[in-house]
Amino acid sequence: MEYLKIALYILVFPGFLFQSVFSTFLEWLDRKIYARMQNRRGPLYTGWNGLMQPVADIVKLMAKEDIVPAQADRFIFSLMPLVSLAAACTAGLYLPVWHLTRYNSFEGDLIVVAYLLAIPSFCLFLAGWFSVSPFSLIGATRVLTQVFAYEVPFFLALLTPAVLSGSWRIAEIAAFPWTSGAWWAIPLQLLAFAVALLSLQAKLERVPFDIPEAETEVVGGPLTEYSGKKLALFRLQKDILMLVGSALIAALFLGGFGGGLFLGALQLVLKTILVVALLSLVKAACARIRLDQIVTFSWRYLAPLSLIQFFIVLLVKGTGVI
Amino acid sequence: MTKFGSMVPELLRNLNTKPVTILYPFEKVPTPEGFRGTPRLKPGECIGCRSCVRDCPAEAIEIEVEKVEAPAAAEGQEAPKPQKRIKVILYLDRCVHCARCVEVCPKNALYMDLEYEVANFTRDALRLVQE
Repeated sequence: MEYLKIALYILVFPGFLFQSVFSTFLEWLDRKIYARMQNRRGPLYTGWNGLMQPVADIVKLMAKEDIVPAQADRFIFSLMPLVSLAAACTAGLYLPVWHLTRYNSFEGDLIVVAYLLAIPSFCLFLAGWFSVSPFSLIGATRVLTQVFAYEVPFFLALLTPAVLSGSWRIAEIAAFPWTSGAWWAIPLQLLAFAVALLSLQAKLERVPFDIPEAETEVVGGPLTEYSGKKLALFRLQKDILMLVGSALIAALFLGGFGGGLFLGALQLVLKTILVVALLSLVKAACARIRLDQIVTFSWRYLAPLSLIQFFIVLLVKGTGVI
Repeated sequence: MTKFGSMVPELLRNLNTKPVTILYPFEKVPTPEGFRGTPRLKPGECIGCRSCVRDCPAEAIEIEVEKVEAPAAAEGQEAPKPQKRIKVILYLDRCVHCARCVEVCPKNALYMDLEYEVANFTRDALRLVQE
């Protein structure tokens, strides 16, 4: 029975099945909101209002010819989509939903999730590096440069709620407003929330941080040589990364998903949708910025802002209100 | 440089407005006044003068004139004049929709309709024979 439960947890909810279904829905939502903000209609013909369009895209890619460049390292080229997808899915297992066991919730799982969420970027770098094509190489180096820009503010932003609630456990951080009744902690961490949101946007390589895949300059960036099933896996990975990142931010900054299975699942869906809508707003409001601008922006604004937030939280903690 | 985030109010407003995209094959854009679609012949008005054939820049019009034998004259009456049967052949694949033929026609026998979806699979389907 225990094994069945674990299998269900890994494969169905909040494991792979739920993640792939919900993340394709989120991609549809993102595309729809983005389109409506630009006065377009967005996906329309596949399913109700184009709801199945992301699924159709992935299925189409699955059916396409899969080409590995002759010069590429065959093993790593094929391995990277799987590793990055696996890392994103595994990070999703630590989201504080439903029942928590010692497998998916332990002291320090926040660090594990942060590291798991960093793996897809490095996979992208390796994928581009071992494709051995000029576009892939340039894209790959841009990915790596960008990683060093946004990863530190992201970690610092995740640190804030952990310090406030005095725990490294995502479940406890998420449950903090429910248990202590300190709902004012949510507006208090607005700064860290904004920093985490922008860093997540950079992690997902979306506008304005999409310089690694700037299609007018470097075609598809690190994914230039990818096609067929491998590209489909990368797309699914990006969707799942968006889901897990948004859900993590919702858990840490928006009060988590407390209140039992159904209320919790409902909150998971609604809060994640809210975060994705904010990400779409950022995407629609900005234009692509240069690589050096990304690095400058991250180190000059995002990192100090998250540090300021960190000190605010320390001060609040020092006054002994909590 | 515009102020950071200055586009956000407009983006949020756009969420509530109608999309500008027109779902083309299902919704059609209304044609404006004076729209030049396909040239059409008013039946029986053409006199076969070939002004349009001469003036057409795309050489998209041909006119065939056939003489039709008049029926035999009835007793004591004047024989009816032999009639002409005029066939205007329009090659829509060559037509540039300039409406020059409409302008030069001395009898105003040609006009432009509003039909613009003339794409087809064969060239023969674009050969319009009008009498």
